[in-house]
Amino acid sequence: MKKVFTILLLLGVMLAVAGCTDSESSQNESKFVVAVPQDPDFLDPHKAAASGTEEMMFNVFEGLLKANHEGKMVPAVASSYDVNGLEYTFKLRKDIKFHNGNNVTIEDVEYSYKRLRGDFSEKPLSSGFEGVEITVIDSETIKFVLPEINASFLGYLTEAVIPASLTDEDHNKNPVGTGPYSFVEYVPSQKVVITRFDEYWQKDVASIKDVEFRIFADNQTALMSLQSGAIDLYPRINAESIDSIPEDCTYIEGPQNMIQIMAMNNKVEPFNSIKVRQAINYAVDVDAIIAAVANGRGLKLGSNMSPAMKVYYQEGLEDTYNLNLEKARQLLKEAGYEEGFTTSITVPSVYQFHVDTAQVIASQLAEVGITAEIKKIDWNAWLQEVYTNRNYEMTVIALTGKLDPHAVLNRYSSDYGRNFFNYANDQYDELMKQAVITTDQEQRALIYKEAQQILADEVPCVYIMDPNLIAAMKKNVKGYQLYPIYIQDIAVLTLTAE
Amino acid sequence: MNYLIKRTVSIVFILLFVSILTFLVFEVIPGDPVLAKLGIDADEAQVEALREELGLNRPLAVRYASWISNAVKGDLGTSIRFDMPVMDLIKDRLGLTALITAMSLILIIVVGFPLGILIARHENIFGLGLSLLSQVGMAIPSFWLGIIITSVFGLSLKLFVPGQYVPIAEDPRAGFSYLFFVVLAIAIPNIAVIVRYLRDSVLEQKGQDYIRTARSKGGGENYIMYNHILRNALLPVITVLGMLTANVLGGSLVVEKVFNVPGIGRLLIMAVSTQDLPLVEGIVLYLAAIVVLINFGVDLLYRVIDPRINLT
Repeated sequence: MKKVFTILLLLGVMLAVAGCTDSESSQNESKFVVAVPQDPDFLDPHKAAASGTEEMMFNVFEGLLKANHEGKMVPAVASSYDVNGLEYTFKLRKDIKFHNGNNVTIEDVEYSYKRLRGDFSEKPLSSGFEGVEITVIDSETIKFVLPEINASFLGYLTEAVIPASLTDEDHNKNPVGTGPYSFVEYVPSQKVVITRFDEYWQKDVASIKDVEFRIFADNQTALMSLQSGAIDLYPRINAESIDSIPEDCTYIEGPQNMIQIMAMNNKVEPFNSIKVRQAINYAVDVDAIIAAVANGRGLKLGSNMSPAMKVYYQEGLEDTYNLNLEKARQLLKEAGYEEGFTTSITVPSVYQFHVDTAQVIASQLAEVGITAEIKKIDWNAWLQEVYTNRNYEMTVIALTGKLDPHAVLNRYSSDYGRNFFNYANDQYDELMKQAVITTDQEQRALIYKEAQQILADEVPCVYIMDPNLIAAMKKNVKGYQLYPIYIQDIAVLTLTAE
Repeated sequence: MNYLIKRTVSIVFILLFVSILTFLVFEVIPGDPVLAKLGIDADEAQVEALREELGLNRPLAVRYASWISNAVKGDLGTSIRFDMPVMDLIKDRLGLTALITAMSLILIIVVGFPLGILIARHENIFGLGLSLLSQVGMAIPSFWLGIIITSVFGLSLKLFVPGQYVPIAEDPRAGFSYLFFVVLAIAIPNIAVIVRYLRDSVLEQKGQDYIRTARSKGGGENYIMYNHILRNALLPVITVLGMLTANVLGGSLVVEKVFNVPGIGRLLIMAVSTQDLPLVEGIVLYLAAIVVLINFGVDLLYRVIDPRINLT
């Protein structure tokens, strides 16, 4: 028996040692901790492409222009600009500084956009500057001349302005920008730390000083960390975790400009038949999916555009295909599939949300005689088989929002490299080409609305929902703003004493 | 001496084989490291530029040849996902995982051995109860235990802050105490395994003739236990302990994610899921080397415990 006591004693001592430290664990209390799900892909803003990187680095970098919370482009490094046909002229803001204390010169601006154009590398870093002439006029003016009209061009000018004095290696190790926060450190798979830049050109915007984006590989761990009080802001918490948000926290939700779809491979039988696709749209009850999978926290969609894109969104399409089993059966019969058919839904297993959606859809399709087998595959396999090789029948996925309607809708152009829907429609292609060369904003919006109407008529996909973004935060965090792009704006947040 | 040379050569071949196998596996499994890194919303120009930069368009044999020729010189290449030298990434984390593994092994031995002997000695209700408990312990997966431990010790008892690992270099006490709970999650299932093996092994030796002889010579119970039974009973247990080391390492890979500890396991999971071949190769090589070396050490240990064993 003596040994039992020895063991218990030993365990007790170890526990006691462990327990003694809880009072010290509050050492990084002064840091504002934001939970994020992934590492940045590149710190170099011109190389970075992942939305998970943009989420953090939006606070560090600015281009000549910058997106505000309405999705509008506002001048940042530029103080004003002027568009004249193919010529875009920008005035550099006076007394604007980089995080390293140097003034931003027109040469820095020139360097940044020439770097994107591919002047200093084998291949361009952005497709937006191909054939664009970049000329410095004087010490505060720069001019871009486009080879042809491109109504989306302004969007590319949100790409970061970075100092010409830094090497490529520096840009990726210790990036320097002009944003309200400067980069401090990145510890892989642990954290990205940024701190307030006190010489930011806009006075008194940011209030919180030190910010840590803590990387959580596991949702459950992040949730428990929120419950323990170690996290101040947890954007993108799962809808089913809402009840687990602790007492001292609150949450804000709203559309996030994301489009969840069930894509059908339009070149594969039977989905090459528009009647079959319409039948499936009538058979799928989107309202039921929103209720079951998102706990009702999602906005029903009718085409490939979220209402978060106010200017371009075509209203009234979401009710085109309300549940109608009679009509679905009728259309299937007309298409020659009276008995239904057997098919599959390929879905990336990492996204439980999409897996759940696929399951609901499969059970709904069974009502009209369509047997859909759910194939769960790993994300990399999805990228290769579905996204690249287009070797699938149906798949559930979400497309993240972009500010440029062209980037959102051009996915369906027949010559677009990543048109994994295999959708082809001459009229649609024509609209996309026309939209690019239409500079009148109202006219352009009309064209995109027409394109949405075509998608709603021909339904290359079942358009499901824009799932709400739910951001959980401590109650003393005020001013949180939802953006139509995947970013966390820290500068607008303030902390109240509580 | 001869044995040592033979063993060393075989280790080199094993590692070479592992590295080739990893390369081939990555060739077969679907995926694209560039898309995995940049996501589906990347500009196509960016995707192409990166693919070119990484030399992914070259044939497999060429890529392997260039990798292995650098690897023997000690350069494991650059991680695709993190854009950092693989050596740097591993170096930072290997120590932590090694520490977790070592702490787990110590806990397993310190708790498991006495407990196993205790159960073997008390073949009554008490022993049976402990046996049952160890059976349950074996059945619990580490990651689940990790969640339970976090919610009990982290959320309810507030002994540590979930997900907030403090590096040991920054604050040794806070670091160690956080790791203690990580270790607990890894060790418990393994303690259960060791307890069972030790108990069976001791009971088997107990019935042997030489024990009766030792007893008739007048040896006390404790003397017989520690000098006769245990010495013979330990041999199979050491083998199991060697295998458990691999198990503990594997457990660490899983539990690190639950506790948000930046060890080699999280790195490996990340590397595999983003198709980061250079990083996977590096980690796999290191882990394979560790497991092979530990097995080697176990073989040597046999000799110390049982001088009759001849290593050839």
